[in-house]
Amino acid sequence: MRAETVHIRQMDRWDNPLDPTMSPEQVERILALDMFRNMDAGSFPALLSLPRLVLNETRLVEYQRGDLVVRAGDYGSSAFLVVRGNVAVILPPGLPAELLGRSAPKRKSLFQVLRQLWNDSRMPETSHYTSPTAGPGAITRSAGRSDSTRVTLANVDTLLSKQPSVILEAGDLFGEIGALGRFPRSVSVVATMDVEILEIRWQGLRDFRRYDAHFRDHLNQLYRERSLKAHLRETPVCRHLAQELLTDLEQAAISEVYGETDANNPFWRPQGESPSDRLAQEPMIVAEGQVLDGLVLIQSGFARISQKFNHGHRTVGFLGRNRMFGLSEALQQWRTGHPVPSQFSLRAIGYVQTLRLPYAILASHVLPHLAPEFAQAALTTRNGTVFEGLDREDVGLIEFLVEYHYINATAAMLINLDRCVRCDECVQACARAHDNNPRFLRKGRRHDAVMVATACMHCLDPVCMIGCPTGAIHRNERGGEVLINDRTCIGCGTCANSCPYGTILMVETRDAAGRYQHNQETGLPILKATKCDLCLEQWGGPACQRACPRHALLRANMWDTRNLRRWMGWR
Amino acid sequence: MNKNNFQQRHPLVRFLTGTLLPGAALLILMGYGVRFLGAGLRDTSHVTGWILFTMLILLTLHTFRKKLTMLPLGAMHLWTNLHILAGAVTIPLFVFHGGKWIPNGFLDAILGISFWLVAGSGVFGFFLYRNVPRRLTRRGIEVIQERIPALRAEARQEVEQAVLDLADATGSTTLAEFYEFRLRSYFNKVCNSREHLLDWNRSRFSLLNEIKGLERYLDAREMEVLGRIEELVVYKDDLDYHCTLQGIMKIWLLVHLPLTFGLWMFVAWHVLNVLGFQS
Ligand code: SF4
Ligand code: SF4
Repeated sequence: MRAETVHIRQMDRWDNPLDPTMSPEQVERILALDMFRNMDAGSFPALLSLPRLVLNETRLVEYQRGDLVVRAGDYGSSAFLVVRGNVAVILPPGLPAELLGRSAPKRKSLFQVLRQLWNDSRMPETSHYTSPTAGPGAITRSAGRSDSTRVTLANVDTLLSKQPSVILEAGDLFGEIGALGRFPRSVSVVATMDVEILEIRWQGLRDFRRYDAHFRDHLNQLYRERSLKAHLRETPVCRHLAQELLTDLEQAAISEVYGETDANNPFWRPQGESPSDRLAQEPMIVAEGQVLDGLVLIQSGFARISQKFNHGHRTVGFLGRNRMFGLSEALQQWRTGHPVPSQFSLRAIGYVQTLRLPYAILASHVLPHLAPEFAQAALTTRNGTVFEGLDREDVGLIEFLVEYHYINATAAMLINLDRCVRCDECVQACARAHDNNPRFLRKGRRHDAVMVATACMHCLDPVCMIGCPTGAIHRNERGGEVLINDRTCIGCGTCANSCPYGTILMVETRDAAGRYQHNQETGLPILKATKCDLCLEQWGGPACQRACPRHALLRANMWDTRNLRRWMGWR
Repeated sequence: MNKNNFQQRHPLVRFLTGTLLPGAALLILMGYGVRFLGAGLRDTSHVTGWILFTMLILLTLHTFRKKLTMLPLGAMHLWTNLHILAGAVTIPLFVFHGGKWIPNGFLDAILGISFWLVAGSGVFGFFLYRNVPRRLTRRGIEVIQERIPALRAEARQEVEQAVLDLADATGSTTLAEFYEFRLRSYFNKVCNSREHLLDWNRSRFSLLNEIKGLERYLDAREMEVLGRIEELVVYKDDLDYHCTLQGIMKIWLLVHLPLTFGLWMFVAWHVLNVLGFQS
């Protein structure tokens, strides 16, 4: 039986401006800044005009001297333009964690937790918003936004004198790589005086880039410069190198791109009848037997490591951002003086950006500085081929995880069907933790006895975040979990359509009285996106995993291979 | 690279190392405890009685823990292991406490029977939970039990519709008659539990044979429909298999829990009796 319905206006992108109090004068002021003056307003479509984007997607924020504008490690979704004053980019090793004022995700109190026992809602999904006509102030911004908590550093001068840093001045843009690439911030940025900064939501940045060629070029240049620098610093082999050596490496590094370049489709899957047909379509980065000239660093995307096996190829590992390929061969060459052919193939899964450090510079700048234990480990682990030497059936599982891109997961829900007694305690525990609305389905693709259930995997590269018009789907600033802000989700379904794993459900909403909410203009039901939030508000972690009586369910980080192997070993 | 991480330990080895050996160790410890606490006492049954009582509470806590998933009280599988271990220890302790398998006296004998019913159902459940999931996995399909009636109905409707459409289009009655006399009852049958419990596979086997036999009377179009019917016969059989075996696991819980409840009533009566007698 359907409950009564109520008609309200459907929210759209413009109902959630970044700054609801932005005035026309402020928009004028922003448009007069160099970055916007250099844009061609005529290249923007009427619906997404430059002034409208500025009005909706930007805001002016004042920071006081010592305020942290960006914290290293956060997953932000905004870029920043310095309007007035200076900020300092703190270079690695960066600020100590306690100074960064990291706050733990807000847990429910003991009473709230216990109340879940008897307070389970009888209604599916209720919504927090009533109608956007209530005024822009009615929608509170996500607690994850930068204005929710502000950390101010005392003694900023002393601190800066101890830390390597770079000063950015009025007109400089920062934070764009993290915002567009969905990467955690690699550095902290602190206000060195009272500054005025323009915050640009990534949706705005994306549209400025899309419609203005000049800005696109500018961003590309920044991206190449900054990501290269940051990337080299993050790489284990370069981390301890002196600045001059790093500068030489930067100049020698060759940037390469493999696979589909459509950034909105990083999960392009090759088509083909047989696995070898599909494998053949994956662009080759390094072929087995090829003499590898140097080291390949993965900048973004995922790559497959495989080895010839009779008439086919066996997948023995995978690589992602910041992982490298070819170090053991380079070390062997350095020790013996003879070129060493690669023992594995490296292929791009979808779209991969790499950096290649040629052998000559590696031999002169990097290899002599490697710690002996590190070099020894690199020689024995052979390119991070973590699954090398497995039984055939286990290799099948790895093929499966790679083929369906489950290697993207930091918290995939794996169910060992040989242990699962189909009791659905996991589903019930999830429901209990979420107002009686379970956030996953105990069904999904399977390989042998392992099923990957349809639950959000909190991806390394969360494609679902591409295209959300309001930024409602975001990374938790602390742990990087992908969360949906109920209060700013406008139910457009972009995330649900983008998620390649089908883990986001669009559900009809009701108000607190249990009435279905309908759009007052179209009459259509108002939806909201729901998915697993890894029980961040609960005590003790994901309820599903804790509730399973047979340890049949694991929230698996595909890169924590030790844990994964142990769990699978318990089959 | 340590390959053993990936290798599965044999269930028997797991049972021995995870349950039986720690259980035996616990039992030996308890024996020493009884000797120590009961030193100087002529009758140690009070001591063993209270230990038994504590074990029963521990065993029952498992059920309550299930409902409290929101509290960080340790993962449920650890509680399950503890439940199994405590159960394994409780059985010899019960015999030791009563001095016999079934104690003397009418009400104590009922308590004894009730205990053995709970313990027996527990042991049965232990093997059931270790055996059935593997059997279900090997069937290939994976379904949620609540969805089975709807899926079965969908399969039946699809076969019915295909046969009707075919009869209208070709005028041939071969498949329509086969549906009427063989398939209708097969698709209408709920779960077919007896066959699946005994692992007979008779219906599936004979139906597939009959389907093969029909091929000589069919043209190409009918053959195509027959191919789909064959798939749906197998699918329905798989659904029945899941329905039966998943059902058994749920029914087991519905037996074990009320039996436990009954046991507690007799235990309460027994304890009150003992306390009354003491005073
Ligand atoms: S919603 Fe989909 S794409 Fe986004 S993090 Fe979850 S599984 Fe990954
Ligand atoms: S709780 Fe564990 S055993 Fe029960 S259905 Fe979920 S995964 Fe299977």
